[in-house]
Amino acid sequence: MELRSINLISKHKFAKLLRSKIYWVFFIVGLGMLLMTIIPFLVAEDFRNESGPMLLIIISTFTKSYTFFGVFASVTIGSLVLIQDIRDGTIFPYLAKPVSRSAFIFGKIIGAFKLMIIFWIFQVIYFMILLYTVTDYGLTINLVLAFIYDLLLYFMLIVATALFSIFLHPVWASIIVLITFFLPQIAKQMIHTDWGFWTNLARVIWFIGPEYDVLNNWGNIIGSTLIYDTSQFQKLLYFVTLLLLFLVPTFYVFTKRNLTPKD
Amino acid sequence: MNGNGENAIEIQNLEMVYSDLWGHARVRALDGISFEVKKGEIFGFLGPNGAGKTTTIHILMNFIYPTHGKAMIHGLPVNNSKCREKVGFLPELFEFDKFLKGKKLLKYMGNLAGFSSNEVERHGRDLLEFFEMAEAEGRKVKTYSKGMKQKIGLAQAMISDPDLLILDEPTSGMDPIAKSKIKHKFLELKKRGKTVFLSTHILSDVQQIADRVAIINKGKVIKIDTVENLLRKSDDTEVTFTLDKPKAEQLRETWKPENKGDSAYSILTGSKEDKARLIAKLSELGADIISVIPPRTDLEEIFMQLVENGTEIDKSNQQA
Repeated sequence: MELRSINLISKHKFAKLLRSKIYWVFFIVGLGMLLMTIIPFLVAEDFRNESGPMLLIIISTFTKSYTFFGVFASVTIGSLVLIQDIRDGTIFPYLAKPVSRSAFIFGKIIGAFKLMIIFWIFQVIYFMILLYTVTDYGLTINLVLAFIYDLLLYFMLIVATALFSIFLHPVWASIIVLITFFLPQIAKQMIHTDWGFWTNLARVIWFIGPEYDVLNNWGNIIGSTLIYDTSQFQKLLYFVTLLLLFLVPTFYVFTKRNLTPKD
Repeated sequence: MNGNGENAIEIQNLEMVYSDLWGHARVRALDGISFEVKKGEIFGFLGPNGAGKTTTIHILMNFIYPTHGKAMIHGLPVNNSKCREKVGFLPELFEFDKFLKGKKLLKYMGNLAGFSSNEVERHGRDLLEFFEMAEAEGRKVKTYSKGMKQKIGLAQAMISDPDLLILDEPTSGMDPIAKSKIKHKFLELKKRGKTVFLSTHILSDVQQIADRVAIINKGKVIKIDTVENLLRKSDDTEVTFTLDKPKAEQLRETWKPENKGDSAYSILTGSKEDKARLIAKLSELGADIISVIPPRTDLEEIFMQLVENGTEIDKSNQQA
């Protein structure tokens, strides 16, 4: 019964998000960002026949669109997943049916995730076309793992923003999740400063968190033949830790909190 | 509270205190209310704005959790989602997703209630026809008028043919013909053994169709009784008659005749014996008795009296 409800709710949420304007804004801007990936290939005549440099150029521009397309879209969609239904009052007739709150939350999040899967498939296909067209590199296991990791990352970002947005304004929830996501990278920029406590804090964060040099990670993944990749493992560990620290209690609190139309 | 499912709704000592972030109590919305709704009855739940009606309903639907006390539906605690399998609910304030069409909305809600698409389609068509909305089934809900939205809201509440309907202001925004049809629908549901829990400000509707009512004010139940009992004003009887003025003056020694114009008078008697004595005297004087009516008031008057003058809790009725 619960699985059936989750499936129904996720289909419904997917259809609802597909009709939201913000989705299409991201889709069009994200498409533009992806198409920009081709520009270096067109202008960098010197490297056109050299597979190595061309690969780095492609990765460099692709990861820019990846950050925008994936991370920002996940966070924005996540911020609409649950609170949208509470604010517009649509949650009440639905929750009056024999559906538990947990099933409701899972259904909504999975519905949003389905949307990101479409983004992701589009992204992967486009990258593979570029890869095979302009370089000598092919698909490696690490590349596959990197793409799967992206998908997991999208899921976690949706969950995190969705749950934070229950307690905070969706904009603040999105900002907090984005800062958390980029925190190790910000910390990396601060470790050589001389700001006392803040520098030490940055060093601790940088030490604990994964290194978010996406360009290097992607370069290592494609260039390496190793299946196990430390940076991917670190990233995953970082988000699993976040999940345990913040999201599980937040999920628990949501199922226990009062829902009123004024929310 | 027996919890064995004999009652459709059981509420025991329910308290709801809304607190701020620091846990300081800010509003006491419910102050220990208790009552039961029997299976197969139409139960009116009345009260002024801010009395605690919607809070009670939201607790029943598990949207909010009470500070203290218990609520059960069909013998199951309200936090068990299974208790809502045979419940239809219409909130006072609601919206449906704007992209949904009427028919799709009913299908989705029916599926959520655990019904197959075929069952929902068949029942949905009947409901849309009943609400005279068959032509609008392909239109998006956002294009519906207020009355149509209310109708589709009621249709989604009834889509799973529930044993218990919990309705908050169900006829709000509807035209008189639709209101009348819906009242008849509730009576028809009652005949089929269904329970209707009706929260509304339209007291005349409740007066016409409800078996029992609970009146709630400032978070407390101040009266629960059958509509019949509430409307009956003790043993008073109003006797109306025509009589010559001099003869009527003779009655003033014992009663207080009120002149109703020309030679028509009315007297309010206080007891059965008093009534018998008056009728004997009128016969003796040769009066023409027009009517002997136990004067009835309407629910609105009772409601105003109870809410404005008395907040005394009718404990005997709460226990009943």
